[in-house]
Amino acid sequence: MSSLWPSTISSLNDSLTVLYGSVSKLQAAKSVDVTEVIEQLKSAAESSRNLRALVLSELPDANWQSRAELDSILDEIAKRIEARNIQQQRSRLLGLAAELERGKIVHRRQVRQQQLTQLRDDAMKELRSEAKVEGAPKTLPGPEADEWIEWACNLKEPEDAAALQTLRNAFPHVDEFIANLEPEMWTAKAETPA
Amino acid sequence: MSSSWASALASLDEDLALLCESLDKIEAAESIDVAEIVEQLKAVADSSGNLRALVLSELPDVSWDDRPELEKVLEEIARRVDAREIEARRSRLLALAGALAQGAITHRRAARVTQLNRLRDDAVEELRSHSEEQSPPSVPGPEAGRWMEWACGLSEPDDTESLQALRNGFPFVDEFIANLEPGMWAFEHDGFEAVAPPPEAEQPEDAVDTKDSELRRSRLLGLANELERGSIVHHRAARVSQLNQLRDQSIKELRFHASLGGVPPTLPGPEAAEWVPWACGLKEPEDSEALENLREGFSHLDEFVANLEPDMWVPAGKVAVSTAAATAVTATAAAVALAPEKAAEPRQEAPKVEPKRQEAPKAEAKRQETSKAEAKRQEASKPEEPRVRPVPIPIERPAPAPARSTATTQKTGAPALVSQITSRIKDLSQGKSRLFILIGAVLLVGIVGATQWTLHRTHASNGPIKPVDTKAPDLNAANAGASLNTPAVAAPAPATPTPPDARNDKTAKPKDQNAATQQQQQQQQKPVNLINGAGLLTPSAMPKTAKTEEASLTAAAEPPNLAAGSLPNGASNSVLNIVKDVPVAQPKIAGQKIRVSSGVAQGQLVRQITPVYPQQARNAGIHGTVVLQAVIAKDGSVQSVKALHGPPALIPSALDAVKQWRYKPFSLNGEPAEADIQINVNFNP
Repeated sequence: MSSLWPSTISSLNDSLTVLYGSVSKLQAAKSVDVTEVIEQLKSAAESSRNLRALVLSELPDANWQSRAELDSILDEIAKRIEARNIQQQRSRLLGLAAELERGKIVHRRQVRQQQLTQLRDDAMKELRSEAKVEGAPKTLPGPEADEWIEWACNLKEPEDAAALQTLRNAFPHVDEFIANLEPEMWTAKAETPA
Repeated sequence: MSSSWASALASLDEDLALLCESLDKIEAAESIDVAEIVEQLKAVADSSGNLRALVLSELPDVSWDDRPELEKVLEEIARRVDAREIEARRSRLLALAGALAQGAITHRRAARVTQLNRLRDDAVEELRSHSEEQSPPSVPGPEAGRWMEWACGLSEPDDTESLQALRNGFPFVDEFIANLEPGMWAFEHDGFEAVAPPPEAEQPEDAVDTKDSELRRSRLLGLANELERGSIVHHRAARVSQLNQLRDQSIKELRFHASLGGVPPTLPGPEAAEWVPWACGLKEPEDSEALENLREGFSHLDEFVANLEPDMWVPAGKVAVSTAAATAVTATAAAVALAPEKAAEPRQEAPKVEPKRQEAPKAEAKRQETSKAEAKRQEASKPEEPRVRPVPIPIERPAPAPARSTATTQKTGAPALVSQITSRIKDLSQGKSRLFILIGAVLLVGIVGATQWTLHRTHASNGPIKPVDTKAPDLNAANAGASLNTPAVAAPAPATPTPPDARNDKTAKPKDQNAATQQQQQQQQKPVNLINGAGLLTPSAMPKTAKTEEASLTAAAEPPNLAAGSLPNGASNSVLNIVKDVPVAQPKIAGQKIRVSSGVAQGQLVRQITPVYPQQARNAGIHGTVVLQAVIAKDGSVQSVKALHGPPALIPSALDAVKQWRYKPFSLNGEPAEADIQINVNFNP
């Protein structure tokens, strides 16, 4: 679920809490600032309208009659969003694996080339293995697959320590491959023979 | 809690409920109209502010933090408000009691004033008694200063609700107000302008001859017819029924006297057409003599005119103004059942009266003149049109009884019989015929009475044995409700005439007329008292020659005298001699059901629901009288009621109404008793 959802829901709940506090005072026939309470009411109504719009954007045909029914719908939406996120992560892993497979390593020394190719194969295996994991796969930092090698090869410590650490923890083989690869050794796509 | 508190709190909660519904929609991110909810919020704020202001108006220094604390504050306020309301009700009752106690009742007749004073005392006591209750009831109507005017102006059916509330909550006050006319009431400081006294009625000459007898008889019948043809109007149906009953008794009394063979008693006053206004104008002490004559000779008639106000009487030929369709149903409950086949008889007799009137002696002519003058004076001194015009209720009169009917004689009771016998004895003393027939009749009555008394003694054998002279068993009660507590109807005038001064003296008046009657009975222990209790008054001037026969007659009610060899021929009666020597057992009356005459029952009626005339029956022209037989429980409620006869379409309505009636509890010799009564309900389209 995007960050918009929880913030909208919490905004509604907060404004309602304030409003109910004022209503309790009214119920007890205590003195209140009516103008202030009206503003609280308008704020709560605005949050309510935002939340409604969000729900309808996710489920245009959704219909509910109470807060309990709304909460059920929100749960359903959260599940859908989570599944969608997992699928996106899995797709990224497989996309990067395919990109690595299609690329070509060039080096003046054959042994070094073979060594790097071996590291690439291990990284590909790691990515595809992680993509097959049941549940949510580990998050791969960085951009989309076609830009990923270039982005990774330019990571430097200490500036990109966080990204490097994430990569090292989640995908050690990918990290090993990238650490040995220089940008000029990588040709993104095998050139088709003329 | 007062209504403003309750409504303010309810208003707040209602507005809150609406707002909370809208807030629930906001919380659920439902589609909403924000402007509408803002209005709801403003309404809540207003209600809240109102409630807050109310609370602070009651308890300016109070503070609270939340709703539970507010509710505690409200409970405290409710307690204070309740206490204040109770105090206000109490103060109002006491103020009204004070106003009633301070006011003065004015009436031309001292007996009526006494009666109304007694009712007033009961009402005051009832109000004061209620004021001492933890939560006194609320008396309907305005503040004490204007209450009497308001109450006397209540009329049925317009003010049925107020009257019902008054009747249910304050029966004694209701009884007082029902008997009081606005003109009779004045606060002490208002003073009271007495109506100009009518000229003193001349006494009839002592000399009695045949012509005079005929004249007297004609006058009696003429007045009976006049009473029969007239109508009684009053704004309270129950009062109409009561007066109607008294009127019927008066008619019977007049016809009974006219039917006697001897010289009938002289009726004071002018001719029949002017008699009622004349009688209603009699005042004490100015007209004491005429009143005394009336009271002694015609106790029922006296009772009737004492209760009647001039403006309640509509003579024959005058049309009573009817203002309410509801008056079409007239329930003359407990009307005296008379033989319908004789209904036309009095009207046939009426023309005979006129020639007799022309032969009236000078004294009679003079009396007529004075009564006419009095009538004119009354017209001049009549109060202005009443502020609230009473609803006249046409009176449905029962058919008159045959003058010499045996049934009538039985219903009239022992006093009538005594009068009849007295006349017979007068005839005998003058050497007239039918001596043996009379003696035979007296013997028969004596034997029947003795047998009845003996039977009572036999039934009473389980009770405590008391000496002969303690108290005679009340045998008349079974037939005529002799010892019932019947202040309204069955309160007879005293056998020994009371001086007018004594009757006017408030301090001398008995608190309870029944108690006074009982006291009289105990003191005198004469047969005549038992007879008085039956509702008719025996003339005090009884011919001496009647003593023997009267004693034998009343022996039926007083065992010791019965056994004292009272048979006219002097023959001893062995049964009676045995009775003489045996202590008399007090009859065991607890749990007995007494049979009460309809007139007595009517006097006990405290709540009367008018029957609904079924529209379908009205449209179909169905009308008539439904005769009901009812058993009144010891507490005065109608225990059971059944229809004896009447139009089937009208019976259910009559039953429904009568079931809701309520009587003052009946008692027999001081013990609560169930009563068996007959009720006639008339439906006139």
